Amino acid sequence: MDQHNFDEKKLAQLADFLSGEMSASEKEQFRSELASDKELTEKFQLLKQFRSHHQFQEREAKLRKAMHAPGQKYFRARPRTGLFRRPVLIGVAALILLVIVFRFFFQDANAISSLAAEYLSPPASLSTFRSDDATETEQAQRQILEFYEAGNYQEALALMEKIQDRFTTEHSSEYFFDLGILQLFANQPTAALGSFQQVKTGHSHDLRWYRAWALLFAGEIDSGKAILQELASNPNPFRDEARQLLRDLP
Amino acid sequence: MRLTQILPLLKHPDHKYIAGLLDGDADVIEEIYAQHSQKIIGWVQKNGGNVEDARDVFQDALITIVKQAEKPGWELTCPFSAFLFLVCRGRWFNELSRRKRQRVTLQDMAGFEIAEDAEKQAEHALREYQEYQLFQKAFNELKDACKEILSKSWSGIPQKELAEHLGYTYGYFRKKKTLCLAALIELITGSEDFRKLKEE
Repeated sequence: MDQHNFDEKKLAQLADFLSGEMSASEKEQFRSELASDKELTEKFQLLKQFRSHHQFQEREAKLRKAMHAPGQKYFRARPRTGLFRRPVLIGVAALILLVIVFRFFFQDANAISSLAAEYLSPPASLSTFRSDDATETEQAQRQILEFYEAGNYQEALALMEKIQDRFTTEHSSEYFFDLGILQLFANQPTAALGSFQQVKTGHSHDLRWYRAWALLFAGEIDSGKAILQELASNPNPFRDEARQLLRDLP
Repeated sequence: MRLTQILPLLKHPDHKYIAGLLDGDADVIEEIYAQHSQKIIGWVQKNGGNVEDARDVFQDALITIVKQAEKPGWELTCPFSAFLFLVCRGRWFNELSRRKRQRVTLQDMAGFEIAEDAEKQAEHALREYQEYQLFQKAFNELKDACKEILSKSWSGIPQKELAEHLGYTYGYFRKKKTLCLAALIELITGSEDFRKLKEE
């Protein structure tokens, strides 16, 4: 009898023994064989396990079914609380972004402010009041000029805005240029840009110079540089300053 | 007092959970989930998993415990919570190893006094379950005819009756069953997982 047949025969006997298919005397004899044959004992244990494992499959299926509901109930991802809630996280992310943007912006703004201290100075006087027919606005003029010369641009601007209707179309370009200057030095660059837009005549180079500054202060660096580039390329009173400024700008 | 009267008194008070699991008692299962789920979620999350992983680990651990507990004469000898945690830890360790994580260093769970006894019980339960998984895998690889013959032969019905039911002679049925058993043994003992299990 070869090994294979021997194994098959023993295996069949083991299966018979486990399923109770042996007579009492066969059982007795097989038990004594089991006690003396280590390999047979191992296989016996294995077959016993097979039966128990197979029977457990049904129990496992029932248990998993019974555990499904509590599993869903107790193992839900809990909504995050405190600092880890989604809105808070979004808020924090937005804040970080804002800080980065502002840091970038203010870095430019700081650089421009320090350049302005070096390169930017207000016109010697306001052109509106250089005109000859300013008698009607004499008192207001005096006050505005006083404020302007003292560097009180906010006060000068407040008065300047009050007298707008006193200027005829003929003098409106002068008025809006000065208004823009006051707005620029009162730290209102966007308003200054609006006023400079109203200047239709005169102020060719100085308008561009101050407009460039208004753009730089408003954060429109590229547009400001473009105007400075024009000034730097052609002969005009601001050419050298424009060239220098272009080198120094961030 | 007889031994049979003394034995129940020696059982660990937490044996009620084991009894409930063995009975498939829905109230006991709910209680176990209510008491231990959050701790296991927290622990699994600390050890590289998420809530879904924790749910699977927890369910598998309870199945592992039941598989061990159904063995005749098995008794819980340690607090159920410690036993459950250790089985969960073992299951999660195996899962991480399966996912081929390079370094598997798991933290213990705070608040558990883990006695050596609990470690041993958990180790046995996990090994038993690994053997069960090996069996399941191998059994599923058998041909359908073998699956049917073996399933029916393990149902407790007399073999001659089964042979007749399946339309075989008893001799043919017996031969076929033996061949199926041999194939199953070969699939299990020839597997890499079986070799690893034996080496442990």
